[in-house]
Amino acid sequence: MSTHLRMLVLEDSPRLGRENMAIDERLLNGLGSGDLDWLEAEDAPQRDRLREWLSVSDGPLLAVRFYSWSEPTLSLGHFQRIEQIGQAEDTREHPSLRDLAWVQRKTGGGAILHDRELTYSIIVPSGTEPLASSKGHSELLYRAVHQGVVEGLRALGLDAKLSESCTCSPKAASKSNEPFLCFHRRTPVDVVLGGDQGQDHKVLGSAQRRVKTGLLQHGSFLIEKSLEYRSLLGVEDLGGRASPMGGDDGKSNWEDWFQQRVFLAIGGLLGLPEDGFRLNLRERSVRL
Amino acid sequence: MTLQPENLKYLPSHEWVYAPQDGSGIATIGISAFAVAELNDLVYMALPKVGQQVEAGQEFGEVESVKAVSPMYSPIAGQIVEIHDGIVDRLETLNSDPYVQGWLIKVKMSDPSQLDELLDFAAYQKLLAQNG
Repeated sequence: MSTHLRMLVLEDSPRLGRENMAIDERLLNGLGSGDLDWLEAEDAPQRDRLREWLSVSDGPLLAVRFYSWSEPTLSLGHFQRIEQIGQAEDTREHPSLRDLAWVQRKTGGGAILHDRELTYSIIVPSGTEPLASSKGHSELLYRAVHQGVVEGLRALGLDAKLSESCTCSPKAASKSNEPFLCFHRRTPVDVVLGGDQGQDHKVLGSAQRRVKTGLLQHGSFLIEKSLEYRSLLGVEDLGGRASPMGGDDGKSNWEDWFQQRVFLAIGGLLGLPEDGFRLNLRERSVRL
Repeated sequence: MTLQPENLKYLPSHEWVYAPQDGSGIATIGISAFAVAELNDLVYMALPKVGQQVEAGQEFGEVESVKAVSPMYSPIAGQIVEIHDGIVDRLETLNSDPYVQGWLIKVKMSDPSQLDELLDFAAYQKLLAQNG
């Protein structure tokens, strides 16, 4: 039997925030032990193909999930509190954000408004080289995905780059001055479009959680500004064409484009030998 | 025996415990200099409350650095009797001294024999060397 790392690709239907976060957490905690029964299959042929695919190899599983939200939702960083909306400089003039659905993430960083954006997660089992560690972040994974998106955006003629700047500070006195929203913050590997430092626009941000069983990275790629908070611009607002892959369907076109960039990035980083197994969750219930 | 790296026991996940044989049964717990370096830029930390129980190998707190959240695991089981007051607001202390000044919690051990299952300094150094 092969023991190569294998990739399970999950395409999901729009869900409530708590469901989206619970699925990522379940994958993080259970993927390494092969706990996949909760991905209920209504489609028997696909379930059988998944079982067959799982049975032909002992290789550890990596999961990549692409998902969206059934309503505009704020996901808060693990150490953020919803009350901070009324205090932070970037949100205190926008009290209506408090009326949105919100959910707490298990990962760090600032709050994300999930509306006209694409969300992804990558779950890597512990011990996977070159990402193995038992504490802290994996810059390699941040950088691989984000650099892959930068290269893709540049190929579309957009002025994309990694931020190479940072608004983060370990000093307690500075924490209260941090923007509440992730897309107002900068870390060196964030993807930004257009303009010099301070004038640019962040379009992709990610965060991580590392536990004994593995590493979770999830993030958000802004397509268009949200009507709930209009000053954060997406890739289409900043000159990206609606159909990066050609064709007419803009949203799914960006989905396809973004998925390709993520696959290329992690395939190159981890040397994945195959395309993986694609499981469509759109018509399925998930027991959580 | 004093609280120095050479006198501590370690988990492979880089938490340390100091358990002087003074009859108190109270152990001090923190995270190693290697862990602090790996975490790179400590931003937030959550610690439990005095009186809570911890189990060996189970989470006792969480730390955020560079947008990544990592659990911290207790090397031994017992009841928390003291939290390092204010340390979550002075996380830079862990960069300068993750041992004497940067301890996190104190635990009344329920099973001191668990200390025998931990890595001593030499074994921990060997683990660090293997991890490059």
